[in-house]
Amino acid sequence: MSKSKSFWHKRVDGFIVLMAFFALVLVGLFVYLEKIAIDIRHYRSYQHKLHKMVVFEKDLENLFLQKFRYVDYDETERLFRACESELRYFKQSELSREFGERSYQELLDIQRLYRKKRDLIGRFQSANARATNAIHYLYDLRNTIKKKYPLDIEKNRVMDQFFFFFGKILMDLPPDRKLFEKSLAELEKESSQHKLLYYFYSQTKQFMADVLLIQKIVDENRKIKVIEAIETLSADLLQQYERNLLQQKVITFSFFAMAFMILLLLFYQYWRMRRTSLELKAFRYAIENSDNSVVITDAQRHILYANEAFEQHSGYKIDEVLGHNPNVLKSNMHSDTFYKELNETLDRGEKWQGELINKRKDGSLLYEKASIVPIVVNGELEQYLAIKLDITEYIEQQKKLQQAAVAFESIGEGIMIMDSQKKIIIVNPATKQIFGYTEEELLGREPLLLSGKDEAALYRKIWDAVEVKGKWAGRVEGKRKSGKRIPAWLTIKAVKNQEDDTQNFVAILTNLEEILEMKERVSFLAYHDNLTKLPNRAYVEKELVEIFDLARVLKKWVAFLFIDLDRFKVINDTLGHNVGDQMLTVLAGRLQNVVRKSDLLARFGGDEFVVVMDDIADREEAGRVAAEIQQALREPIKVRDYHLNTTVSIGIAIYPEDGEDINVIIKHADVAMYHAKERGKDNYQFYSNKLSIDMHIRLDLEQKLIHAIENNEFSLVYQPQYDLRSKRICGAEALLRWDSPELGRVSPAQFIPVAEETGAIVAIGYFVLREAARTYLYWKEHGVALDWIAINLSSIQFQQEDLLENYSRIINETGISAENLELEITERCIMEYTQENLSILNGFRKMGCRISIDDFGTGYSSMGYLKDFSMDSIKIDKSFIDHLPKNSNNSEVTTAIIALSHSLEYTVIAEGIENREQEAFLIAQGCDYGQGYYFSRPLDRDALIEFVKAKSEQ
Amino acid sequence: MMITTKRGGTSSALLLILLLFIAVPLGANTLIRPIPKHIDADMEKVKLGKKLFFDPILSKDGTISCATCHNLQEGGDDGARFSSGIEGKKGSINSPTVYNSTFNFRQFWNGRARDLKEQVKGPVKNPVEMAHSLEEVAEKLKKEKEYATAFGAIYSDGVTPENISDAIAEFEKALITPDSPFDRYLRGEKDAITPEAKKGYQLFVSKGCIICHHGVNIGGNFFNKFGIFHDANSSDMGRYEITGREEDKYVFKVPSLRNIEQTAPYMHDGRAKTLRQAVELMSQYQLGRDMLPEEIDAIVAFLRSLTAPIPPLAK
Repeated sequence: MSKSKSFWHKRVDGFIVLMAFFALVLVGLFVYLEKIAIDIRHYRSYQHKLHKMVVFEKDLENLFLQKFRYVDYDETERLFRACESELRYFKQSELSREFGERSYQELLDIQRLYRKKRDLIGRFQSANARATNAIHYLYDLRNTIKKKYPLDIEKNRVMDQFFFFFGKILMDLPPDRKLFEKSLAELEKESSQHKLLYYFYSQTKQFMADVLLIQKIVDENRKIKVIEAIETLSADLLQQYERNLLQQKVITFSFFAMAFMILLLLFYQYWRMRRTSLELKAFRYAIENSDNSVVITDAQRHILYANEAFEQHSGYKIDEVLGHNPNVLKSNMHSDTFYKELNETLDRGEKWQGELINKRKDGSLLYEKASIVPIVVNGELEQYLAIKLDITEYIEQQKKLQQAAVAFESIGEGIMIMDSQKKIIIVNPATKQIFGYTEEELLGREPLLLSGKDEAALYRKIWDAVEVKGKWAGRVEGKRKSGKRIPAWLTIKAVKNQEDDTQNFVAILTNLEEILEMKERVSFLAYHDNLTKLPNRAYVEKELVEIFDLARVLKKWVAFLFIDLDRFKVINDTLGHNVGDQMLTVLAGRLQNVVRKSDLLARFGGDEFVVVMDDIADREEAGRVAAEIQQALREPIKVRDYHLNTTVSIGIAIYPEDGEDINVIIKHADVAMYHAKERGKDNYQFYSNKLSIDMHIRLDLEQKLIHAIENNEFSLVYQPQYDLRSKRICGAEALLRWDSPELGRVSPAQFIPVAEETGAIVAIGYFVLREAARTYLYWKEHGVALDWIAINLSSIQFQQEDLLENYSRIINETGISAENLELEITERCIMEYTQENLSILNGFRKMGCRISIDDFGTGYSSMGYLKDFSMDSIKIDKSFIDHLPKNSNNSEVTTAIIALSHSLEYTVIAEGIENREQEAFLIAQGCDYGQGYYFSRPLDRDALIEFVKAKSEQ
Repeated sequence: MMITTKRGGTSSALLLILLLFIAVPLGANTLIRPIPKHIDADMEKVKLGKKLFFDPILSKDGTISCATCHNLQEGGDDGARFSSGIEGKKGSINSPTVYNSTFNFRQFWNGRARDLKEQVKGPVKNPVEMAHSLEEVAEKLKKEKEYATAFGAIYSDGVTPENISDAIAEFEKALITPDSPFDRYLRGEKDAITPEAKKGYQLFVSKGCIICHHGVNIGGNFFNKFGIFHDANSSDMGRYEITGREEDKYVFKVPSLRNIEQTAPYMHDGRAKTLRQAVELMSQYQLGRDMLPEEIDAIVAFLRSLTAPIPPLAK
């Protein structure tokens, strides 16, 4: 109910009401004028009819003048019917309503008169017909009588006498009644004898009676004043009509007056609307050109209007958002609570003000300071008006200022801002820190913080430059509060306003103190090892140039000692980098104690050290130092809880004997060091030509190796592998032997690297597999069923794409079950860690082969990878077993390997077990399997059968 | 003598005036006007009226129709002195012809009906004629599907007493008989009537018959007394029965002479069986004069020329 009421409030303003009223008045006026027109028409029609009736009446009256004449009574009837038709028209009209009951009564009077009249005329017609006929016949009769009695004068006189009476009657002259009666009496007497006279008499008598009747009727008729009655009615109608007309004029005028009034009101409304419209236009212009974006929505929050600023701010075209909810701009940067609060405020009909983070069409953020007003008209929410100022730039500037402030606060450079009078107004913390002054001590002063021989001249020079060029930059020395000098780079800039007046000066002072220190430190780092602080390889190479130049000039000898720690990697990997690093630090310290001050000690690489001794007397001096070094380093090192033993292998090359070029000397020392390693480590070797000659032997080996397979020079021997506790022989490792006709038996250590380099190892691999498989089956035939036979795989073999296929084929061909085949893979192979290698390993696993890691603990090994691969056992390298259990370092590593392997559920096999103590140690540590000379040397095929049988017999 | 002479002169002058009076009708050629060839009528109503006209359903016992007394093949009346009603009841008045009745200024001998529509109700109600009421007739007709439909098509209120009389009246209005030889003569066909009839017409005018029998219908346009020079000797008192006025005793409507040859017997009570008798009676009663036999023959010949062919509507 209230809703519809408010609807009316809303929709029907005064203008529309007035318009409707105006239309109503006009329609009323029109209808009324139409009614007047109808009235006039009716009135005219009535008057016309009345007039006609008067004419008819006159015609009828005329009838009475036609007495004694022939009259066409059809015509009379016609006139009556016409009159009746007019009367009927009046009776059916709305006369009484239009002109009052009196008029109607008058009409009824007329009708009554007509009825009377009609009756009279009927009677008149009968009498007149008779009278007329009588005249006719009397005339006929007179002629007949005259003819019959031409000489009877008396008869003729009597008839003439009567015709004289008739003539008078016909001329409407009153006849002498007495005389007439007397004559008639005479005639009656006469007529008794004459039939014709009797006729004349009776006709005359009848005629006279009819004449009197006619006279009576005419007299009666005179009393019926139809025309008067009609004229009375007509006059009444006229009077009433004029009265009506006056009334109609008044009413019409009232209508006009009303219409005019409304028109005036309408004009007033129009004038007001025009004023409002002009105001609105102005407002609209203001809104359209406002920098604020203005959005108007309906109560359902569909956008009805948005101005140009909205387009500019949001990036949306107005047409794109019309009819949409303004939340197309929603950025979701605000929490739901924010919007909830906003909506609640608006729902309460209150104005909401705040900052909105919206999103432009291009997705960038739009910060707006907005006020949203619900427009309520007559208690009903009509629209929402949102006025929003784009403050994105301000916000972003604010952010930048904040960032600048952070930079200003935290930057290392001292920044001072001075006013145009060069008085300090702002300083940053760095300034205070650099100069040691508090802010209070600096603000409002001139910045006189430099030192120099002539400070005044310096300041003048700087300020002059700033004033002329607007800028000065240069190296200066600052003066701390404490008096300390600070090297610094100073930049001063004049900040000018739009009128080109200097407003501020900005001074930026970079403290070069640290930079200079840093520079030194960088150069130190470039040439020194960070861990041991010893010079590095680059330093050595740089120094050697000078040392060799000097030696060349002075003709002196320089010894180059290349020191490499034995098995350092294992320590590093098993005990951790920290332990390794600490160990290196300790070793470096010991080395420094051993060498002379003049000698150059450097760390060359991970576990490589170099000692350069210029001016040595002879080779022996270098050898002595090498021995001293070995001695010094052999001392066990305690790192945390570990007692670590270490040995070193040292290679020595002498300038200029072993080469005059830096690289050659380094290379030769390296060769010598490897030679020392080959010689069982823990020794030093001098470089000699023979070492280079060994390279030639190697080339020869290559040539021979190419033909070795073809010539069937390879054979396999088998070293039993056994359960350390039960001593049961579980398997055997196939070991390759090369008996060359020229070279004799060549050690695998010699030819395997060559075979790997040349690729011969691939063919050798297939040979080993095939041979080992056959042997295993051969043993089986002879009653020796071992769990497995182990063969070695080189990492080079993994590069063969068809390795898996070929192995699979060979396994099938020979008939060995893959479960009985153990593949020993070098650490290097796993360390390469390629996807191909992994898939090959998995392929082997799928086939059913056992996988074992060979030589574990040497070279590249890292315990880390173990958990990433699926394998069956770990083989501890012989070098760890060699010095067991005396060497505590090795025993700890071994223990760690066994423990780790078991934790990963791998079995552990130790190789190179050469004595009882070693075996006992391994058993004690829980090692699973063993292999070595102590149990059995490698045996040939048949010998192994016998060995197994012999063992089982024990 | 002087007086006589004087009187004689005066009387001569008076005679001259009298002659002038008389010459007017004699010279006029418009005393009788021909029946129009066509009359405006609603043909649908005419068709319905015709059906009703011939339908005895209008009478109480279903034996008498309008056509029983108004035989359209026989001059529009029944040829009897008094008409017969239902159950053979005898009326007391000669039935007038229905032809050209629309040109009568009133209906019935005593003029009690103003028009045909009013007239229709008379015979239906008359106990010696149809002895019915239009209300009852309407009820009966409503049950006749054919009538109900026909009335419905013409009148918005269907079958009502008013509509029944309206339809019949419309049919009767259309029953006009133009083209009688005399009408043709009046229209200019000089030889349409015999010389005898022409002589009869002259006599009809000169003897004064024309004074009462004139106009389109040759009569039927006013009342006059029956028996001016002789006692009417009639049981029917004419208009007196309506007005009660002494003057109206034996006053009847002057009847039409159209098709007079076919509507014997004559007078309101059918007292004259032949035309000759009727003309003789008229000249004695009304004109109070004698007429020679040859004069009567001529007038009868004229009257016969008023007989028109039966109109197509009546067939």
